Amino acid sequence: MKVEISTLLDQHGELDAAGMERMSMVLANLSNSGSQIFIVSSGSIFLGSKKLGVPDQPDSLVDKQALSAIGQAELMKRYRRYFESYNLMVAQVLLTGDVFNDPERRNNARNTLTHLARLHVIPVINENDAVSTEDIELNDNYYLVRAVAELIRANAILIKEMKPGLYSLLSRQAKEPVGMLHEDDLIGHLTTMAPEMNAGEYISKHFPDHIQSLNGEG
Amino acid sequence: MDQRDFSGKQLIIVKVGSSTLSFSNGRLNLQRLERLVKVTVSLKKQGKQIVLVSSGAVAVGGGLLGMKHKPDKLEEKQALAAVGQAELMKIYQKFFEPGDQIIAQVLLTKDGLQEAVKRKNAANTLTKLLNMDIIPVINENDTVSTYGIEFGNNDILAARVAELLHAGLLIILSDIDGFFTADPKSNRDAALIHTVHCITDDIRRNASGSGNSFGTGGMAEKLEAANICLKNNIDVVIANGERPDVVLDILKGKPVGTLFSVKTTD
Repeated sequence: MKVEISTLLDQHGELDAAGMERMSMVLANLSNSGSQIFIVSSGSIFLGSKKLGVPDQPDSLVDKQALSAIGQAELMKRYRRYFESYNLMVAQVLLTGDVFNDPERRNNARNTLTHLARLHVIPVINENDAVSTEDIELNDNYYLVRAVAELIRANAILIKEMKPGLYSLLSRQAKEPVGMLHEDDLIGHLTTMAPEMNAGEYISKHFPDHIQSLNGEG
Repeated sequence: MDQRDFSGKQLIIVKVGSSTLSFSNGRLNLQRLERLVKVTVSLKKQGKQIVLVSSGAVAVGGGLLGMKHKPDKLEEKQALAAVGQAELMKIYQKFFEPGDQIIAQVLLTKDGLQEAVKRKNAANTLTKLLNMDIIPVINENDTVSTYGIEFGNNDILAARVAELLHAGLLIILSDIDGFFTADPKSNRDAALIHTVHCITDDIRRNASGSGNSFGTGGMAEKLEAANICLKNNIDVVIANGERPDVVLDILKGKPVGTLFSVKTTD
């Protein structure tokens, strides 16, 4: 599940807390229905800047990294609160690019993530911006989403869209590379998908196109 | 087919079972619960008085504690109900909040509805709550009910509440479209019966058990509940709660589910 913080802002550029809570409820329900959910969420730099009352697009990389460190705690606080109200636990997982390249670390990360999912805990994953600068320079988590999807052999990637209640579904099974789903139809779609699908593999081949098409809509 | 008109029914009891409120793994279906709450609030805004009889405490408790199957032992079930009831009410409250609707938890035991003084107290409390524009959310007090004196399931409880409050209509939401000529899960020729005026022995024979691993309410209990209501001239509709908006359809007089009514209008 890819969450870009810009999809959770109101018209004044403030965080739409009700929207974030609603998304959390929908994901909690997806988890209740039996799906294993992994959230890759941005928002740490945004929330860090709100906390400090500074612009959320600082020029320097180190400013962004500092804001991210402040805001990550804030981001987790919100996810924890929203999911707790539906009796679900979240876990923070911060990853860096080298985790995916080193076989042993890769294996450790996969074991941790899949074990959390087995415990019905929802991992909320972000790039460890404080020590890593790959996605932060892109202002997006596409690389991380792709890497996580491959790592855990995800069956599908959901992307939160700008329009409330809408999600893009990326899966091998979908006829169109990006299928738009309403929140009420997510469970029906995902529970009928073939379990052997590996969306990460599929997406790594086609992802550049998706990035472009999604940026075009954003 | 009978023309249905429930426009004159002021007090409506809506009974919702575990099979409607949870997935087959026993975990709560939040989006469905939220929809049910919205439907209930919308009925309230139409000027109806609503009592919700909600199962789900054992299922929610089981999900919370990671239980895989329906508990066998009574005390296990009672413990899960105690854990789950608080969680269930918390989530109900959360969903009712945006509609500015206050709810009240009322846990009943069988003796509370049989013994004259307790019965009167229960009626007074529920009537008071309704007059305060509050929606009572009723469940059996599983924690203190013991085998032999418990209602057995919430279908009967809902019927007893309908009787107590002289409700106009009881809507029982289940995982089945209504009452069939045979069990539709095993018999392809089973046909939905639209209206029942009198529960005959033939009809009783048609009732066969149904329900998922956490629910208890089979068709036999639903018939028993309907029978209690028929005796008290209360209409009952059994319908599929998969789409909670079915409640609105029922109130509009649409021919969904099975209507049990002593009144013949055809």
